[in-house]
Amino acid sequence: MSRLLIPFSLVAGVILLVTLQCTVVWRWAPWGVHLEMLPPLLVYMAFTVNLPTAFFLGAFAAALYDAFSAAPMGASVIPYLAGVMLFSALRPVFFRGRISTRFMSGLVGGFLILLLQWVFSGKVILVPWGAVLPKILRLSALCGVLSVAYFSVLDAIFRASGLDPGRFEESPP
Amino acid sequence: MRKRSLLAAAGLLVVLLVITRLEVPFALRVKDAMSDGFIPFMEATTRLYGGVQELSHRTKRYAQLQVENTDLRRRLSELSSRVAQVGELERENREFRLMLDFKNRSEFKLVPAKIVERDPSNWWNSVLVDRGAADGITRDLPVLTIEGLVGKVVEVMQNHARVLLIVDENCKVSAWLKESGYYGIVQGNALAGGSKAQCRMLFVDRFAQLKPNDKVYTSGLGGVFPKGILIGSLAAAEATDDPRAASLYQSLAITPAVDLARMDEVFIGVGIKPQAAPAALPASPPVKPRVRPSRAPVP
Repeated sequence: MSRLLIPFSLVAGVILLVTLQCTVVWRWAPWGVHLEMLPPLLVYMAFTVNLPTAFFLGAFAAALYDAFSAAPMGASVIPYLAGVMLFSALRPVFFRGRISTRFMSGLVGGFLILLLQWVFSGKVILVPWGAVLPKILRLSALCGVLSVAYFSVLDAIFRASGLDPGRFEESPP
Repeated sequence: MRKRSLLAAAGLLVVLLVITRLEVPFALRVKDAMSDGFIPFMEATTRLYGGVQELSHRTKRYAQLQVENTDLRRRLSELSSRVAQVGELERENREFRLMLDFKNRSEFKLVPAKIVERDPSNWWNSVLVDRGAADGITRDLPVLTIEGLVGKVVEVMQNHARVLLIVDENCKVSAWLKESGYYGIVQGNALAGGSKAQCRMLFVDRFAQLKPNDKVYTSGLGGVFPKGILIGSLAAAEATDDPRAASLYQSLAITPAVDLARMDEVFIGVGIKPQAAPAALPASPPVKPRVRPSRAPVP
């Protein structure tokens, strides 16, 4: 049962973050954009659970996100799964304990996911890249900060529950 | 020896009695000296006792005040919260009255709806409302508030509907400028337009004589949005990258009339009332003669 505790906690985390994003987070947009809370969580998932579980969680997060958005259903699936697969593949070469790794993973993962989301939104021809790229960069920086927070808080919670979120650290995915 | 001592003591007592009872200057001096010697001590004792009494009184009073203060703070907090509640109820009441009044005098059949959630994505601008197919909502119905147009219904579920806001790039509305009478298409521009001018009006005659803060209304062309709903006001003419560009049209920055970030309740227009008062609609756009001013020579 304890084996399933981390995936179930992450499912609960996805639901909580999407709910927050739809009800609270949109009110706070200091740089003209509001926080994107899911991409750093996907990076955390990719570093924490095995690939099939991360894949399932990524698909679930994307479906839930699209269900509450005007985006076509499935528009976020490819971006999210791309992020999950990239970081699952890179997991053996990263040391997840470092703050710089956590930040850079969140930043790069956020950038990749948001860029792909934008491309798949179908609005590329309607808005100039010059207006969108700065927003993606700002959001990616915020994703980096959130990633550090997620790693610190969730790792602490799982360790306090007797689990080892970093058990894949030295083994290939 | 003992007898002698008793006699001496009795003699001393008699002498003292005699001295104290006699109104002689010596006795008075002795009295004064003794009282003078002891008065400071008496005063000090009185002051000390007064101080102790005052301290005790103050301590009691402080404890009492503390209780009273806690009680008053609790009551103040209760009253503040009640005042805030009353204020909120007043605001809600005022809004509901306005909405009811708007619903009654509007020429559209309106279904009130509450916003349930906002789009989680930065790339889309939409809201989910608590009315759906069960309430007679269908795709492409206009959504508005007292202030003006909000957007249109793009997805309908059984009990919910998704409304695409006018600031979304995918939302396009046929519109006209009330004062200057020019037609165009209002399109969302939230991602590129900044915080205020979140829409732009495209396909406006390049030589249009524009008036500042001109109101923009739906034109009714296109069949999706009924005529005469306020969209916003003209903010500025958008500068083109190349001033010598040989375009037939210009685009204008438009500020939406509705504060889309603050709205909680909206109306969905499900049709036109049969006996709609035509006077409620703004006057039809005047037919403007297209007199082009002489073009400035291009350097």
